[in-house]
Amino acid sequence: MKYRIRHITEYRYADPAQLSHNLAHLEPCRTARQEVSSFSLEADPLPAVVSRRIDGYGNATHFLLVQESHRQFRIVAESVVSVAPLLPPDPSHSPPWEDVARSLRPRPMGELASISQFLHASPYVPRVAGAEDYALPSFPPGRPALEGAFDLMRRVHTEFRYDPTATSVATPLSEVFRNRRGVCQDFSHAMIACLRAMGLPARYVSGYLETRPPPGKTRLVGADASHAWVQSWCPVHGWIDLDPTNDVAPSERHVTVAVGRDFADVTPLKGLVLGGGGQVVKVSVDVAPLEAPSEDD
Amino acid sequence: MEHTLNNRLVSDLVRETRPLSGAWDELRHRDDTLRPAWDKYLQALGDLTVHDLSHRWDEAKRILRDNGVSYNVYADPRGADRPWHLDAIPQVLSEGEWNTLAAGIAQRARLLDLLLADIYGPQQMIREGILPAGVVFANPGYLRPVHGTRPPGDQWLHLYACEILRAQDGRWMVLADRTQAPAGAGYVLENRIVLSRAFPETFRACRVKRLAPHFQRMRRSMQSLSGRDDPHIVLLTPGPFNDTYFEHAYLARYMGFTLAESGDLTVRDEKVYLKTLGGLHQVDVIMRRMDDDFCDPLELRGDSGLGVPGLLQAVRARNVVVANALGSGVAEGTALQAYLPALCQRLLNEDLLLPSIPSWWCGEQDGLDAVIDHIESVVVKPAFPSLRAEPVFGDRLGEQGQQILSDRLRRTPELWAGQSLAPMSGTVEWSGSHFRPRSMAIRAFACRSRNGFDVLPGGLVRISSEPGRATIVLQASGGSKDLWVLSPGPVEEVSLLPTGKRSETFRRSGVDLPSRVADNLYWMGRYAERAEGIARLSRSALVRVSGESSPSEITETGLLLTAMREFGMLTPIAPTGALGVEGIERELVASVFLSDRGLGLQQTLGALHKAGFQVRDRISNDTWRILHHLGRDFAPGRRQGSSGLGDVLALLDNLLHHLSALAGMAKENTTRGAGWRFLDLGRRLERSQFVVESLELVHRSSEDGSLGLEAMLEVFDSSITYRSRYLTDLQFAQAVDLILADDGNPRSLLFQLLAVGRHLEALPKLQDAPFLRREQSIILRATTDLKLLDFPAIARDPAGEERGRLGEYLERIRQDLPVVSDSLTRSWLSHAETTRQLTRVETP
Repeated sequence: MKYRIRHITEYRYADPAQLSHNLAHLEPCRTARQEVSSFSLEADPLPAVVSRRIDGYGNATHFLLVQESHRQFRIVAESVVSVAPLLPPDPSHSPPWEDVARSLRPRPMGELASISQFLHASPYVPRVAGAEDYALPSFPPGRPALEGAFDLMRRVHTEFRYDPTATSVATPLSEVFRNRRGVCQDFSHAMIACLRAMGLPARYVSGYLETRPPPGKTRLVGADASHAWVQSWCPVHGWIDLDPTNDVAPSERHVTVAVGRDFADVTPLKGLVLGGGGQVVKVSVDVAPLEAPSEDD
Repeated sequence: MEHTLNNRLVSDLVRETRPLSGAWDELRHRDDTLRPAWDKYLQALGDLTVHDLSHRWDEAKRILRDNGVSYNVYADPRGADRPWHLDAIPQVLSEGEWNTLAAGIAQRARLLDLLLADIYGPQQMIREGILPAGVVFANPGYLRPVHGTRPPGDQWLHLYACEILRAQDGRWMVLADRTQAPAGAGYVLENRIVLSRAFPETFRACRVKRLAPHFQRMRRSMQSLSGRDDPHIVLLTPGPFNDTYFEHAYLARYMGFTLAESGDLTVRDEKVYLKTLGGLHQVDVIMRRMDDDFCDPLELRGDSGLGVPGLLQAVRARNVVVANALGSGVAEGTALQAYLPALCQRLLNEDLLLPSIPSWWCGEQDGLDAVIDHIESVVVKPAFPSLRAEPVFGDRLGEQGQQILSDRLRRTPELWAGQSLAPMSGTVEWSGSHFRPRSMAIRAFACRSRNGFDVLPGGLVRISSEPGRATIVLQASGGSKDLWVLSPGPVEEVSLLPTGKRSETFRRSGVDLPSRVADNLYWMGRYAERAEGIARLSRSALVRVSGESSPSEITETGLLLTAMREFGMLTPIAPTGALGVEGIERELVASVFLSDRGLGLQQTLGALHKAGFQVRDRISNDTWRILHHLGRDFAPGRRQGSSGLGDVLALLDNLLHHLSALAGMAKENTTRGAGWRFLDLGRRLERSQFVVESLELVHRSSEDGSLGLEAMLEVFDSSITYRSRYLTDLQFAQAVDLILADDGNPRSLLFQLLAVGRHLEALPKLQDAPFLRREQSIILRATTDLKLLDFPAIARDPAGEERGRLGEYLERIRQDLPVVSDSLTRSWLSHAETTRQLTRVETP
């Protein structure tokens, strides 16, 4: 599938802001399955500095610095991305989860060492009481690692309730576990905590999901949103995408922007502003298919 | 008994003190003979008696107190600085022994520097399995945004410190490494200055290796970091509430760096700038005393309000060098200790000269087993210091406690490490009346120099009464000692003033005055003047109450009390008449001490001290000593119940002496730069306010204006001038002329206004401001109007039309003066703007 994606973020300030430092993870990544044919990042007012670098996880990061007095700040990221379909992996064709966990201990070397960095607690995914207990039913002894991960995804999907009013960006994971409700970010963090509690590496993926209008309705422009899901690792398949919010293995409708340990590593846009007083933020995302959707997805 | 102790020789008493049992004896060999360094030291003490020691030690403690050496304790309910404890007896080591130790310290610094370059670069040590991946990846001190950056020369570590102690067999071992922003070197300097001043003969006779050359090399090393000829270096401090702020200010002064807080710095165009009165000045090198993760709220921790947004980006762009490099904290921690010998072999191809105390990381099965198997003889610590958990001593736990601890380790093994309990060596401490055994550890310091690392020939010796509890940190309440390395030959003499390199640059103005500093100097000026005004008013009132109480004096007292009430110094509980003389006296004495008065002396002196403390690096030691002294007599809780009028008067006299000394320092010992101008602006504006408000009161009080004139002349120190000029009785117009319009009287309003006008004129011009600024036009008008007042007309008819004009003038300027202050603050000193996080949007 080929999409044109437009991600607009707009800040409005009560008072003039003098200086604004921003860090963006908005450029879709290039992978074997994902081709980025164009990307542009525009901001108003025009930043004095725009600098792009590839971070430690391979994501493109943009640093934007506005140093003129301004009352609003608008950032538009636009890209054209093609995503190839994924042949669904066979979950049973995966080593027992205990073997996967063991292969990364006690002292992982070479490539395994860099995979092992996704085993540990991270800012949004601290060690949470209850994560291991929650995960255990999905990982009986000897079960293939990927099968366990798929089962876990299904359980999070059914047992956690999708509730946009339940959490904010600051809600701790322990609360998400206690209340079993939240949004895709919370679902993903919860599932990551469970996988890591079993000694399995897990990554957080920031991206977009193409939403389709109900039959007979036209597509609403700008009504989409950022999305987040999870990657689980096994030595046979490498990193496999799993979307606990929708209980699917992402294929053509998921566009990947960045991967990291959790939301903190790949926050789409974060910044600091000098002055400005009160602020209001508005985000709109539009994922527009550039070709007719395939029926089998 | 007491008498005999007094006459005993100190060296004999030291010799007789036995160490704590089981510890290595720092003083004696096994056969009870003294170690050579101690032998030399005790001989150098000569015939110093206990009496001499006590006497000199009191003196030394006074110097420490006067210098305001302190250690802030965050959690201290008194919120106060804790005084610094220094022992009278130094720890002494021979140069030979020290050199061996120093080689080990320098090697560890080299090793950790290379390790940091690997961790933030190719991670070869992890890939090869020499360093377990978890020691880095589970460590919150590993800052991912830093990975891939390369400081100039791939130099990560510039300042290094370690805690070392001696095992029972006499081998030195490292308890912990400090690789972020090692604290303590400033305290070492202060300890040395105080101790060598208290015992100059002993110090000379011992040929103690000097500390200054090390700091000179440190400065040179910092200067060379930027590659520029005349780099601008700042010392970044978290601010006055940090526990070692004293040291930040002290080092900044000593090294000649600008002390900067986060808010003083800003990043533009990927460069770091210092916000100064003269505009933005680029910063080349930041010597930081702030923890890694607080340094850049954009890319590192965003929740603290500390740090400089965009700093990391400026580092990446290579426009600034941060020492130590951001991220260097990953090389601290007990988890790493276990792998240092192998890393040393691999990275340096050398044996590790100075070993760590045996340590195990629980993140590996072998380490976990070792710790659990020996739980009764280890101390369990967080694997990484940023986890900030208290160490647990296994031998203090019962069997059940050990079981609980073991279970905790099994649950989150990678977060824990174990370390052998290491008994510290034994030394002696002077208690004030006798010597007692103490265990000790040393914090040693190294800095990068041209060829590797240069180790400070000295250190901060921490002493403790408990044997074998080697968890000494600065906060611990134990004492400190100076460390003397005794040199067999002559010692190197140096001064910190740079020599050698010839410069053709001349400087007349220090342009890099941070706005925050100017702000504090301004308030220092205001508070000093305010304190003086309050003290003078109080004194005048008290003198009158204590005197013969003639009817006119009682009336005058009434006016003074009204003034004090209006200024918020007294609470208006009852009309003056109803109180009676005794009531008034009680009220006055109370006003001097009580802290619930809006404008009490206590608050004012407290605020003065605080403003001074925040610019500690900008004011001379002499000035600081006066400031430090100032508030002591009036500090909360200082009042003795029986303070009578006489005592209070004496205190006020003393206070006024000190305040004059402070004013004198400002006048005669301060360079006429922007800093001085703000200090003086504060003083002049406060004095103007005081003159205007007081005179307005006199003006309003009686038709002919005679009521309270006498007292006012006294408060404004102008009685003698008046008497020498006018032999007649006190006349309103003449007195007011002297207090308001006589430009030769340094207490007059005109004198203040002219000075303020000159200062405003001289301040650096703001861009795009071709016209007079608001504060300038107000002062100009006030000056002109004052000159136009017709005092002879008032003299002719003290109740006439011109008197009315005087009243209007006083009222207007009373309202205008605060506007001047506000406008000045807005133009130059404003810090109202705060940096805040932009709202992050949750991913739905």
